[in-house]
Amino acid sequence: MKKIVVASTNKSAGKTCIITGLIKASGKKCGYLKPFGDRLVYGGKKIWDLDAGFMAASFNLSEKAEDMTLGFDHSKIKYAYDEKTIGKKLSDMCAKAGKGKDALIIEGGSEMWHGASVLLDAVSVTKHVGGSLALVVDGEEYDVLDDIFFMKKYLDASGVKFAGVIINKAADVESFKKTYLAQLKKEKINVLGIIPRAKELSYYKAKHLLDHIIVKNLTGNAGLEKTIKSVFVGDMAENAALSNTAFKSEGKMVITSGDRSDMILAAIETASSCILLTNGRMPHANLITKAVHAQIPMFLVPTDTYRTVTQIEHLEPLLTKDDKEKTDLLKELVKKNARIKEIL
Amino acid sequence: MTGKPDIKYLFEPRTVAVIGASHNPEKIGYKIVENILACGYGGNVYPINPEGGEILGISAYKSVADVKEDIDVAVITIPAKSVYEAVRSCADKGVKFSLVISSGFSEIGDVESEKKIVSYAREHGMRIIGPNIFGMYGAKASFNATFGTRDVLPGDVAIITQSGALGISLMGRTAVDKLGLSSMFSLGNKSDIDESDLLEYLIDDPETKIIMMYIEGIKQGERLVSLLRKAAKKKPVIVIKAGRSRRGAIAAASHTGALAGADNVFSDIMKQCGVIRAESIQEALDWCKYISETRQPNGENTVILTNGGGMGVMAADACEKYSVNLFDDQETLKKIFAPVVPAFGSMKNPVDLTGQATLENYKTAIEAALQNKDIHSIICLGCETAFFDAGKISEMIKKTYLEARPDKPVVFSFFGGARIEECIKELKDANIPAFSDVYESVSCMGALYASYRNTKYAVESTDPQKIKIDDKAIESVIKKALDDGRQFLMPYEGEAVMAAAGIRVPRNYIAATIEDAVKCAEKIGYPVVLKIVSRDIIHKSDAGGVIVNLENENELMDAYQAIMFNAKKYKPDAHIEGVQVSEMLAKLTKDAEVIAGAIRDKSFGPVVMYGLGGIYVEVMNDVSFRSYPMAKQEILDMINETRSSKLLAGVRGSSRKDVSAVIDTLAKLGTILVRHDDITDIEVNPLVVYDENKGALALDVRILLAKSKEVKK
Repeated sequence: MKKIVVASTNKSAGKTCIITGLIKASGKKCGYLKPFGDRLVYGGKKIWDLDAGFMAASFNLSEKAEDMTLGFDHSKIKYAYDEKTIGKKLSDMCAKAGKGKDALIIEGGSEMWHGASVLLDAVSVTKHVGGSLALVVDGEEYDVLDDIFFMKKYLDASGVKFAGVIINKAADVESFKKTYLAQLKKEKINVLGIIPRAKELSYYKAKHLLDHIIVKNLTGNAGLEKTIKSVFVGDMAENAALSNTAFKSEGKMVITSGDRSDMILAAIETASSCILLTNGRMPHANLITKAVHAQIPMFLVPTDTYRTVTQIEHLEPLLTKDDKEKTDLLKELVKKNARIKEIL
Repeated sequence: MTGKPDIKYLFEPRTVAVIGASHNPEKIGYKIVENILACGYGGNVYPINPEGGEILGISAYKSVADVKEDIDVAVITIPAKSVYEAVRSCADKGVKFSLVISSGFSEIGDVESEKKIVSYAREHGMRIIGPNIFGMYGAKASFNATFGTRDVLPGDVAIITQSGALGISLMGRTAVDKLGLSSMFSLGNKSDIDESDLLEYLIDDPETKIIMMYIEGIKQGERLVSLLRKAAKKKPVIVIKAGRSRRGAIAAASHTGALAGADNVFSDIMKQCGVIRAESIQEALDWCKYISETRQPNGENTVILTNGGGMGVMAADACEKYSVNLFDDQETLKKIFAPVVPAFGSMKNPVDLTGQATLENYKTAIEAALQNKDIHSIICLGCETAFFDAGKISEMIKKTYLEARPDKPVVFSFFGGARIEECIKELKDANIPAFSDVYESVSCMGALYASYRNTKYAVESTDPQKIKIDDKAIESVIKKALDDGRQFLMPYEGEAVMAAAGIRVPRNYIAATIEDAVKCAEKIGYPVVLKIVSRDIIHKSDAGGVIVNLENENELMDAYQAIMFNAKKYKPDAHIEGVQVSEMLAKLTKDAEVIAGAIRDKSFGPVVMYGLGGIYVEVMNDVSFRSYPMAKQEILDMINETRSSKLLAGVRGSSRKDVSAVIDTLAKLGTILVRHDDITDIEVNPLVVYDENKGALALDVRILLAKSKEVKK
């Protein structure tokens, strides 16, 4: 059974998306682990990683999501394990997760050095479990090259097997190949794939906010499946918003203070996908009723508009098991642009 | 002259100077002199005009300094730019009170000039009313120094109004309604003298039977509350407060330069003071007139007499709204009304004389009710029918009412066509309380009963100095927080304050690491509650920082990680001190979670709050407020007026809760605020109230502090 650790140099490089695309496109039976979690979900007095939950549900894995992760907090890992027991624990997890599978994919923490102090960084995990390490990178072209060149040197020095690099969210695949592929080959860097950027992957459903931002849902089940494609901050007068083309765009989420009845009404009447109200200000009951009738989800957050917008800006459009359009798209992207057989 | 002058000389001035007295009949300075003279003022009047000459037959002085006699009141009617000089000359002359009619001060943003005037006046022992007023009226001295109506009637109602224009109209209206005034003041910007100063006099003024106030904003609320309580125990106090709505509050604020307090706090505190709050000016005037001309009832048994079932039902609804108790002794009612009610009528209250009732039937029924000692007040209603001559109603009522001069309160309400309207007018002209609308008549009866209860059931406040709390321990917690530059207490500090006040809190420890948390939980014993401890996260639940009912080490470790993750997500730059591990007490029943709080209100000082607790406090908005200190009975009233009070009484099979523990907690929260100036807000949510005699427990406490003393300076 092949074991591969998928790591990245930044949190949102797209490791889970690449792994999803790989499993779907390869058609292989794969096991999955994420030893050091970074997307915690708490429910029923248990915690699990969101990505692990997604993998378990999407690929019908027999392991429970909470058993795919050792912990999320350094102090917990340090309290529960030492140098010897952590290696053994990982080996046991690998044996269980890989049983009867063609391959075992182990996803690294947010960045590949995350967890180094408790021996759960990507390199330490690769050493514990054996197998090779694949690096997923994204970003500006020269930043990507810097990351790849630096990590190559580091991985060679650390003695782990470097399977190669997957360049994700490339703005122009052909142009990248033309400009940089030769340079990468010269440095003996194995390019496993160059995956183009797809704007559909940045969309998320309104209900995503319920899971990832602490909000009060004012409109029940109304419109939770609506897709949010853009964000509009309603800090101007309602007539100014109405004359703004971004306000007229399909699939927008409007963020405004809960006491801005004019803006809320305009957002309802322009068929927004979601209305996010700030400052903990409850809107008038009539507006909530109107939103329910229009099937527009309306959420309330206690934070001010600036802090809320900052939170939304950092919100990752994570995959969910019922995101069939997105997972099908990933399958196609990986199939077309990555050397699957070499990876798995 | 230094010190404050005796306010008696404001109500009964012996001498008056009018600064800006004018020769021009179109000017305010002329009209004021004209009104003073026309209303029969017996003291000396000194018009002041730099041109001298005669005004309305009186020699004018060029300066107030030229007047040889001492002046009790100066009325200043000159443009704003010259007011300071006029105030100076009055203060230097030793004038006791200045009424500054002139406008153009804080109401339009010129706070500095207003302060300058008041400051000079105070330094020289002179008091100021206004600026921006229409003047004053005092019946004892027949002193009408206003530019309002001259037809004002002397009587026993004192009116204090913050609005000038409204005041002038009110004055005119009292004349139309034949409502006699003992005094009337407009306060305008309240730069110096405010309603509290006037109340202090009016409370003991034998000529004043009722006090009516129109208020927009409150200054020195604590003093006002104390005086209102004192006043309402002696005589009815009726208040109209503008600024109920948010927009109204903004308008009121910009109107007078004073901020209008939150209406719900105001409303609840007025209730506590025994003040009767009217919805409109006409309602307030109707109440004043009715109470002024009606004897206090001897009890709370009210009977409704009607010839129409529908009108009777409406009156019964109105009685509930205005807290008028309907007499319910069926036996007695039957005995009294059997001779006048036909077989198909009803002798239950409302007593239905039926549509066939004649004037004679009415007369008999009214007389029967007046003569019976078990009936203490009567609401007599009538719908116009062919069975009684509408033109003769007033004659019949005048006979039964005016001739009998009943010693019990009666109100009349008749509904019908033009003849009924004429009849109501005739009755009103004869000072008989008659209205066309049932609610108007019942509201008058309600106001009378509200004032009756205030005087009959007045209670004394508990002295907060007598309530035992550990002040030293509380001070030390506050000092530490202020030294840290914080304006709030950490949860464990809040709990320390509660413990120092004798309010029960769960056993708890602070843990900096997961290892510590496990040890603390073992010390307490599972199950436990975990809460985030961070100076940057006050609303812990909103941040996902509270997890309850953790039953073992694994659950605790997962919860610890979840709380840390949520806290970082909620506020990435939050400084996290650790977690609080608390004992998890007996399984909480939702119906016993209440909110208890105390806030330092900008207008009224320490105010305590009670309501339905939990996470939907703002949504349910089922809370009541009271000014503190107060009596335990008042705390109970405060609890009982919330919709959720029934939860404490025990509903749907749950047992009665420990209400006395809630009362005790609220009294202690108020006491903490009274005795510790640095604390501005305390919120206990939830306060879990256990079964009777088992106490209450403060599960979550938030305490906010004022800025540190250095900053405050």
